[in-house]
Amino acid sequence: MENEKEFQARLLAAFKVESEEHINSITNNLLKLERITSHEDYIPVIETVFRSIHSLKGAARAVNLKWIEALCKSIEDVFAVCKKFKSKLSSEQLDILLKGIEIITIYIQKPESDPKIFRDLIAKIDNIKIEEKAQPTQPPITIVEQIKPEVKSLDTIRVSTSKLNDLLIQTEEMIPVKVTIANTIKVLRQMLDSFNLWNPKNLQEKIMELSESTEDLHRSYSQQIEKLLSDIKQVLMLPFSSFLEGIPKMARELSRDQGKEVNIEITGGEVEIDRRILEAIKDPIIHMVRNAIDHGIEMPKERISINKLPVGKIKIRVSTPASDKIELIISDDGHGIDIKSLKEVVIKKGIITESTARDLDEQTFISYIFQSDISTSPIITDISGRGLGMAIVQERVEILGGKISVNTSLNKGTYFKIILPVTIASFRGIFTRVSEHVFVFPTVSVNRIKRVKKDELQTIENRHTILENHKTIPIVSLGEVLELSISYKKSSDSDYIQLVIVESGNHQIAFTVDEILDEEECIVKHFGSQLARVKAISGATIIGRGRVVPILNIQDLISLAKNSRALAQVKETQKEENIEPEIPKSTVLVVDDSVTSRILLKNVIESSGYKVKTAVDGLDALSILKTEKINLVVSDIEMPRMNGFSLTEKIRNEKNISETPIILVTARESKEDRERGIDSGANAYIIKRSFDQDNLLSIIKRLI
Amino acid sequence: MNLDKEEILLQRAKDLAKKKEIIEAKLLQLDIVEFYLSNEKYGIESLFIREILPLKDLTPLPFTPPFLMGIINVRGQILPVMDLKFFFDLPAKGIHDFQKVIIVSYNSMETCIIADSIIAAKSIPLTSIQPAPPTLKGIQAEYIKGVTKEFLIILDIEKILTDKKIIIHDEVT
Repeated sequence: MENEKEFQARLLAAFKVESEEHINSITNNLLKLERITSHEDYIPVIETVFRSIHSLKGAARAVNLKWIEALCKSIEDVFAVCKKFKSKLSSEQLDILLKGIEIITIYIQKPESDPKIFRDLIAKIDNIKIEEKAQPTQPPITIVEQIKPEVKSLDTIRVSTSKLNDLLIQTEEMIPVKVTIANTIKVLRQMLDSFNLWNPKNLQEKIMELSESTEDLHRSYSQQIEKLLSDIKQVLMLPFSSFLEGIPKMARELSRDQGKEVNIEITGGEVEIDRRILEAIKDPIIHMVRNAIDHGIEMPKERISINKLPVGKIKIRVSTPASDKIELIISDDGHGIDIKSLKEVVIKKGIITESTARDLDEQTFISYIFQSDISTSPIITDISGRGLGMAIVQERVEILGGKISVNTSLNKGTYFKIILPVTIASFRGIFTRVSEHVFVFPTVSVNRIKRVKKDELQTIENRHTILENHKTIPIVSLGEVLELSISYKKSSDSDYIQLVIVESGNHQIAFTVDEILDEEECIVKHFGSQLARVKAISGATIIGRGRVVPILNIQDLISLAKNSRALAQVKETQKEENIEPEIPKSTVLVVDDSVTSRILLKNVIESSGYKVKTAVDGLDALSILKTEKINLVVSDIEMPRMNGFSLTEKIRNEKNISETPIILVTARESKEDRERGIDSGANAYIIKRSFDQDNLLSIIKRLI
Repeated sequence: MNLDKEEILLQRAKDLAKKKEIIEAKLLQLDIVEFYLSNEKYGIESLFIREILPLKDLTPLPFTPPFLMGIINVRGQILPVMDLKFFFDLPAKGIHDFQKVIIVSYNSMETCIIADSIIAAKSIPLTSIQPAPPTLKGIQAEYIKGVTKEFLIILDIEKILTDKKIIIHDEVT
């Protein structure tokens, strides 16, 4: 049984959720009232507010929040009169009412505030005199007190019943899976019995039955599960408006405090986005709007003097340029970023030299505002302060798998464009390996992946660099930047190094890794409260069999690389004997029925200077071998028509090609298979599971 | 009639409240889970334990202090794993397969504590717990709620989980 306290707590929780809706509606409509000029538009808004305040009052009474009830009653009375006389409220009167709503919001979050505030405010509200004619708007005399409303958490979401019904139906349709699996278990047990008693006929029948039912299950449910997944994702989507609704109120307070006038224009609030992304992008948006008001929009007097309207304008536009992308534009018509001062700061800070600064175009230059050492600079106030915290904004956006860019022109304004993925899942990452560690580079930040010969590297001021698109990019070892304790035995074995060239802000750095594993779509998992911020790591993702892989924070990585002396040390000692004679390129034939393996092998072998031909199975390979000059064969074992063993035997028995070296690459690991491979006449037998490209290349080198 | 009803209800409420007191007296016991960490016996109040799992697939993170062993995946949730040995100056012992992680939570903080092995879950009377010996200093004493006669060290999970020292907030400078 629940005791009274628990019941009260539950009621209160329900009230919080309900009140939030009413309060949002009331606040927005109150703000709307201020802007409406025509009489016809005014009345319906008054109606809406009246209804919302009435409901709020009722809800407050139900949970015995007397002060809220009383305050609501006063506000309700004001609107009742408004309705009756069809009269307008002045800016000041609206201020008082807004203040009332604000106090209610705070009280709901923290019910211990002083009743005196309520009493005073109720007195003020009751004093509001409503005239039949609208009063001229006057600038407010009282300065609105800065009480920050508690940031509302999105613990609950509103989902349309139709969406939920749809989900229920789909989930119900999953019941047969349970039944079928139960049956599968039963049949498997029977099979085991038949096997023990050795009843092959019965066994065969059961296998047939099982295979059919499993196929059925797969056919009908693979799509079903996909659909369920995407529908659940839909449920987690929220319209942007659920958060943007709060922006005009915040902007209003902020601009009034500074004696500025700002009009916020929001379009595309109906666009839906994954609530986790919305949650993460909130602070950056608030920050940017604040910046625009603080530093972008000029004082009304100043604006008039340069022929602008006294009221500044901030536009927030949300749109979906592609089905998986959301574009968020935040622009203002303020005085823009002063590039000249920015240039001075950047040069003064020694980030670039004066001569390089001259060569940079303005657009490249502006992106310096995203650099953290610029933003923390005290000089920032001289250049409009725009940079403040922009580094954090960029970091947030990049963690989400998005991009941010900025455009500005002096006295016309600033324009930020943020591209975001619609759902968290559409984050792509490049999986790399350093020793036994695996790390993910966000694909958005990676410019190129490159395999280069060690002797192609250039050394500038004792640092290894690489020339890419006429730009010199420093090379840094990922393992050393991350201070991993690993042995470097491996990298010196090969003549090649694997580079991941990343870019953030204006910097490009090439990181060496041992291996590129894959590029995959992955889900970003953020760490809990204990790991508030880990250097160089922005989160983690989970790969097959539940292994956790850290995701690299590119900005951190670049800063670390710049500071450290962890430059890739490519040993010079081996170079002496590496005089490669100019011989005609050898041709390698890759035989594999899987496209992926074929492409993988082809790339690996081609990258070390061989010509590569491909065949889809043994028969195909044999016909190529008979017509073309092939120096070596790399073949899979399991293939349709003719497998790798037969191919090897066939080659060994064919006159002109019998001497061709053959490397079998296979998933079969058993000793028997290995022996069979050697018996059939293969020169090498490589197991796919432990596939290592350097190993393969050195074997090829040895055999040709 | 109504008054009578109210009186009955009131009496009932009083009775219920009394019984609770008796139950509370019984509750002067502490439910704990006992585990080994470097041959020392530790106890954590069950109240703070979400679950206990075998340790597998620990992913270490760069630039983290030694007490943070790495992160694990608990059904899709990423959780940090702490090795309390580093707070208690215990001899290090490598990771073994038999090691367990104890997921503990307090308020919004949730983390894992590594254990060599779990001994048992049991109730001990509060009276058997004595304050930490004065020889313990600093962090060692801070994190301990008390010690029993059997040298079972009861950890103060509330203290540990609210200590800023365990939070990693590292910016690149």
